Amino acid sequence: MNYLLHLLIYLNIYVIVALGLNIIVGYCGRLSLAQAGYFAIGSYAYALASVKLHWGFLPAVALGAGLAALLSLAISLPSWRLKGDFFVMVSLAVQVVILSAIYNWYRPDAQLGTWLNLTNGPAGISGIPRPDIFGIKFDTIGSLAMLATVTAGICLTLGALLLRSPWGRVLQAMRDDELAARGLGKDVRLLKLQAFAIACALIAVGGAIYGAYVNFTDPSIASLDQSVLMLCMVIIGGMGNFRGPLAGALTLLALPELLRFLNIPIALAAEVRLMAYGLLLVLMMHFRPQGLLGSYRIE
Amino acid sequence: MQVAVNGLITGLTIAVLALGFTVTYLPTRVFHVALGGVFTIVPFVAWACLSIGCPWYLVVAAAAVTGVSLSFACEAFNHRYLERKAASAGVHLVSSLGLYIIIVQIITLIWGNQPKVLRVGVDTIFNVGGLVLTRAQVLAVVSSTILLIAFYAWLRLSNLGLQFRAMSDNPTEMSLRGYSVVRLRLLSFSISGLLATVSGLVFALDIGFDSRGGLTMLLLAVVAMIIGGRQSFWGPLIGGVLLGVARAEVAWFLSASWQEAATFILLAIFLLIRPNGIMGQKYRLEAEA
Amino acid sequence: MSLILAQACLPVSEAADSPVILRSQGISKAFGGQKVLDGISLQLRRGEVVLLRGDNGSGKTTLLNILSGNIEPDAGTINLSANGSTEIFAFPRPWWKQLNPFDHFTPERLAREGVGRTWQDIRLFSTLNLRDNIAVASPDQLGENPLLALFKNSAIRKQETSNLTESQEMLEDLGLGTRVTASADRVSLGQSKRVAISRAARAGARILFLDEPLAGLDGAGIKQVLNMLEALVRDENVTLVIVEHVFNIPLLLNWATTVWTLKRGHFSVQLPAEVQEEVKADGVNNLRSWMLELAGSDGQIIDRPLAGGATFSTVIPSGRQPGKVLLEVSRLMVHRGSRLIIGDGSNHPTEGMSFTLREGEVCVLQAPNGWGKSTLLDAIVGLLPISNGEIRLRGQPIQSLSAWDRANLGLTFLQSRNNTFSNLTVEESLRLTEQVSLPESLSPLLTRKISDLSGGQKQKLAIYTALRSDQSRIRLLDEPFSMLDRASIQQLQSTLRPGTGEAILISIPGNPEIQGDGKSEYE
Repeated sequence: MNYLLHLLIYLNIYVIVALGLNIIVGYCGRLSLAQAGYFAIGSYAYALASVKLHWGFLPAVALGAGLAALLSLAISLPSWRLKGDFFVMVSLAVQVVILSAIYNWYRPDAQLGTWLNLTNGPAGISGIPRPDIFGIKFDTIGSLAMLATVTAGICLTLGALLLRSPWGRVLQAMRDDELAARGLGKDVRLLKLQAFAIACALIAVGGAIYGAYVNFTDPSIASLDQSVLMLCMVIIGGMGNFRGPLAGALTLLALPELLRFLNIPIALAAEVRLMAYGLLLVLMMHFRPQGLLGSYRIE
Repeated sequence: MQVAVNGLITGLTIAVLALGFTVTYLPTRVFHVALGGVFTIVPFVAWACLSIGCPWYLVVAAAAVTGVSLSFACEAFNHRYLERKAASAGVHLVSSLGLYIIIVQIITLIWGNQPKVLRVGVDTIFNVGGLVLTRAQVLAVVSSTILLIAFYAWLRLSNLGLQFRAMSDNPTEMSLRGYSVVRLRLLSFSISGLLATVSGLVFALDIGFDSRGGLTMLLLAVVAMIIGGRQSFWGPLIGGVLLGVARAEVAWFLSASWQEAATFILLAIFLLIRPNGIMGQKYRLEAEA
Repeated sequence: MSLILAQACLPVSEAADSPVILRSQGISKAFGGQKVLDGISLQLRRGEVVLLRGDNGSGKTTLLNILSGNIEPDAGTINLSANGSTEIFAFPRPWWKQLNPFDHFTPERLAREGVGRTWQDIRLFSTLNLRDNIAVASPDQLGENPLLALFKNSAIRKQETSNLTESQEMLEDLGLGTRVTASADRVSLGQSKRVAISRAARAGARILFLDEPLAGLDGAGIKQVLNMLEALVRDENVTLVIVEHVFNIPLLLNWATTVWTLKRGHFSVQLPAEVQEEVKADGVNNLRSWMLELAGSDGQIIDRPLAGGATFSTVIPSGRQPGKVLLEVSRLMVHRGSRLIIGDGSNHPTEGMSFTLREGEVCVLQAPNGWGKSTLLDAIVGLLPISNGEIRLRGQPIQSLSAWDRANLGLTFLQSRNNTFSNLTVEESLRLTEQVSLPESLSPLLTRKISDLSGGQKQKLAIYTALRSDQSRIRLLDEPFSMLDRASIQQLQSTLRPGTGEAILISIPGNPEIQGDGKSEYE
């Protein structure tokens, strides 16, 4: 039972990340590799806020989301000029810079949380306390699962409200034909800033929940492999609607379980899983470029 | 001066990889991410051959055959079919990313995660006119220069090179004049593989290699191509050398961890001010007309 | 068929007193060394209906793109006062102006100043339904701010409801009320064009630039579009600038107030009446007279009308017997996306297109812009897949062969655009097709880079390559006369004779149906 709850928490994290990434890939039409960086920003911000500043769950998550939204400028500004292949490279550069910053921003002699040592470098930040909302502590796996599910539910609701609003409509118009949308007077630059900010904030919320559950965060969650996994999730599941990201999250969750079922040795599991993703990507581009349940084809 | 020369030599290595990337990108518009996989795998093949005692020329030959055929296979078994369905550039990109992932995971499964080196112990040192160069660096300069000269000469002077340039310019017109675009595409992927092989071997010889750095190295190559100008075959050479020198100077004056930031800032500056690169034409990126 | 149109609401003399809402001075634009627009100065008054005419390649699309903010000119100034306030744009823009993100010369900026446009390829939003396509255009929507949208206060809800209702009404005015949820790409060409016009109007356009709005439409479609535009001028006081290819002009001359003409970068303003005289006088039917000359005393010309206002004419020169069939196209159907371009969709089942080319013949396909001439030729030559039908070259089926295999079997194609290698020198380009020399007029250009040549020189080079005689060829030429001056056209026409075992098919832009008398104006 505990194991199922553990899976449920991860499912919720993936769903939130997929929702955010869906906005970037499926609604802004940009392929990105920077998402692990924003996931890490959410996680580290939550960690620092709760460990050093003793903030509760809500303010700590909000800090992570806000910081990620601000730093989303690193990829939203390039999206004004770039799309397709070159945007991917810029997003990769952003990811490299974020990873490098997290990995290097420390001094062995300095205290964590000071300006000299913001991230504790390769050692990461451990001992993240369990979530606390106005005094209520969520320290059983059941309560954590409930918290994660409620958060994911709120994110999905907000996402649905936004994407079905006039804002969502003009975003779709921009995706379908940016030049025609501009010809109608739509400020696509502002739209991109808004969309990326919202997407990165969502991804950071996922990162915060991860930190809260695992009690620990380190630079490995900002790695390129993580970004690629997240991108695979969204491409395989499909984009441009709501079912796609859910399918993608489920797939990301199910695949390692499937491998365990097939008795692949633990030592090889990570590689085999990634290879399966690579293979899925290649096959999907041939046979189903819109993903399993998506409605948008990559341009 | 030493720093600049070190940067120049690293820059040449980046330039060769950048040229390899451009040689596929210009004629086919495919974003050959899997080339990073070729770059990653060739040192492992070389290492495997060395550990069974092959002489150096067989090692190089084995690595080259691997690199060229792997890149060739990416087109022959994958991108060619996508092209037939008139797939968009993004689909080719994602597909190539998938291939890259598969290649890297195969490398990790066979050879593991640990970094390796291609030579044992400290490298031989040469003193050239006051500068200190390692054997690896000398090899880098010699092989890169030979390869680059051979490539540009072939491009300019041979008939096949002319066909290649023409296809990079206007593939539709080439097919209308009776040239098999399929064959020329396979050629471009093969040449890319060869260039990536040399770059990968030289880099591994100098610094070492592991299964993870391929995509980041490819990023450097693409940045070099953008800075130098992605509309010509000379752009990657200029961009690579410039990037190599810039990174070396930054690492010297600031610190090694600032190199990535420097790359990003240089990229941002060029995209803002001169998006078509040094060799490109001066017009701003216009709104599509 | 003649179409009677009401006069524009403002007679010309009154229009002369209405305010100038758009003025440009000295607009110049060059692409890759070639000057497309040269010091254009013009002014537009409120209430005018302007016809901007010019041949393909005359720069009218570039001018349209500049005036709608899609391209920046190299030099000149633009004064815009359509929406109340006057905005002045001077080019080239100083670098410090580029830094202010609120003061860029962009389509959205001009759209907010009242400039709207439609596109030749329509560009509806394909994942939005028709009603949303119109609703999204509405300006100043509070719901477009994501923070406000989340809180869904009553003001937003009210605005959105009235937006949707009005958009629905606009759709119903177009007769598309029940198609509200149809995705935009399942609507006919004429319907999509009208939805696109509604969309631009909804965005609040005071000046509406229309890029070849009549291209590809049949008589009924043209009538519907023109009625809609008339209503816009009459009821909403929108000022129109209609960019049209020379051949649809006669329809519009009865209605327009002004005609702007672009000829090779140079600009002139005329009254419609003058242009009507010019058009009548220019009935010197160059194309027809050339075909008659080719046919000679003993030859034949067989005209075959096709659906959509096109004509397929076969010229059999005198002294030749109809030879064996070289190219046979049967029941051909070609789609672009989900739209049927070649093939007659008005019948059930859909009929494909069929024609043959025999040895010694010269065939001329004359069709208006948007009919699908290039689509047809691209499909025959192998650049586009076909949905149905057969293509045989000297009896051999080629529809599953690649373009280069077809070329090596003797099928030669001259594309209408992009038909040279800009980064090669002339000599290198000739080497590719194993040609070694050039005719005298072009030989000084041998070592020049092709991108440095003028449009006319590039076209002549492309034609020279297409006419090479290393083997018996079936030559397809897509709009070969564009970019050439009259003397070069006549020179080319005199060389267009098929050799032994050869045939030629050329496509020409034109609309004999509109002209009404089977003749065409041709420059």
